[in-house]
Amino acid sequence: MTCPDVEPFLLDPQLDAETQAHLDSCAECRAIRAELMDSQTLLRAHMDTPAPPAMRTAFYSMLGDLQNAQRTPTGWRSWVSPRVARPLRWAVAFVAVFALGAVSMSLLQGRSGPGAEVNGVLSQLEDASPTMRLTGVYTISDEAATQEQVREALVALIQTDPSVNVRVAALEALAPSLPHADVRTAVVQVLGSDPEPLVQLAALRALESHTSPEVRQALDELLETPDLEPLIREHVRSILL
Amino acid sequence: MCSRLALALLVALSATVLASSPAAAQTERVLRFFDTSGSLSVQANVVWGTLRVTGHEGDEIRLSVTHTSEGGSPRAVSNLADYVSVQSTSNAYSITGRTPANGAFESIDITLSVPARADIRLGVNRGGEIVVDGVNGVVDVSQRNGSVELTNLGGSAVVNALNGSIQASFRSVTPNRSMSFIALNGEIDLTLPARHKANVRLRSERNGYITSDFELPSVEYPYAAEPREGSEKPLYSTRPIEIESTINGGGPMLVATTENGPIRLRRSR
Repeated sequence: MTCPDVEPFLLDPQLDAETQAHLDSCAECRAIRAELMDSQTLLRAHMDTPAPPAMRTAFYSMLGDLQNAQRTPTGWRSWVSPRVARPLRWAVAFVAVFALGAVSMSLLQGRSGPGAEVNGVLSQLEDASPTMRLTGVYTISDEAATQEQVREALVALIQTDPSVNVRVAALEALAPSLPHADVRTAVVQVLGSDPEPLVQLAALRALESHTSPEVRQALDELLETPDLEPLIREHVRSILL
Repeated sequence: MCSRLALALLVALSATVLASSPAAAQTERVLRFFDTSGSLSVQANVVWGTLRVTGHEGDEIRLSVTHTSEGGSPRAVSNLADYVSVQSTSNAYSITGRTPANGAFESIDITLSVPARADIRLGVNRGGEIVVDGVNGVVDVSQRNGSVELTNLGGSAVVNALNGSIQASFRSVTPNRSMSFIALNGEIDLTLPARHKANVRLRSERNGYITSDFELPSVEYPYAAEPREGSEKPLYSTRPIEIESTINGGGPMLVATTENGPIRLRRSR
């Protein structure tokens, strides 16, 4: 076998006898194989998930093209000497492999970046267990809190979550988002409609530094509630002063 | 002589039959889950009354009810359906005490022995006590007026009490679960495993203090705004005390806040 004959098999973990015999006698092919195997090990160490199907297809198609081109030298190969063309082809292959690695790494980083964090939080906020929803609320980072999806999920929690503790935690998490009119409106609605004094108190705390006319009107209406907890009434009055 | 013996036998036989008849003795009902392969949940709510829940290793629920009318004394009831409604799905039971007619007072105390692994959700709408022991699932409690006492827990909990104290002790805590204990008027007393890791947020708004057996980095003992002079006992503070710190290096969030009362964080031995 010649060097070009064994090239397609240099990445095979288990070589056949003929290829192995060639490698035993060819230092250049041994070096290329060693380098390829090292690159592959390095990539595997950083890739714990398979590449997307479209990328795999594109990559194998590219490799196939390379192999076909190698069998029938055309184009630039026809005028570049085989001595130069061989390392050049491997250089192209290296670039392709590392490009695949780099793209995959960036995809992996994307999975653990802000987008992944938001998805993780949203999943926790929809969990059946109140302690898991609570965990979701408390793990929202400042960056994730700015995402509209997260704000919407928190607004849904303050309006519908069956657990008082989760509604309170969500109100606290929404406090920095009160400059958004939709969030402020939702909190004002909760203040007027939630029957739980602990939730009312959390809504009051969130709103106390945003006393717009809309908020003041909501506070005035709350004061008219006959069975309002004395502590809540006191808090409302202190805000309105 | 023979007739006396026959009469005694007849009386004894009648007593045995009466005692074993469903109408006379069935003050406890056993409820079985259709599907025990996954998670189980039990929910109980009353308007007035005590909810007492104990965990056990089996897969069934044992339910008994005691009724106390206004001015009356408590009595175990056999006709449970008159006092509570029971609804179920394949892996969940919901038990709800009846609403007193015309706003009158009556106390319906529900005692439940539940699978220890079940998640439980308990609510007292007007007043009573909530007592839970030996449950390893999620304990979700909402209490209006009265105390909450949770002991020997092996899972996680979210508890709120409007007017009443919260006391909770954990044998172990489910990893990576945040917990929250909120009271409006009442103290909060938590006992956690010595190695429990958490980020803690503790706030006593007024008339309270905060103490901790755990070392709270960057916080000085006693964790009160105004320590009592010449004494290690903290003074009840009229000002808000708020602590954000970690125990054992930090972990999931543990929140304890009360508007009125002290907070104690204890480390179990």
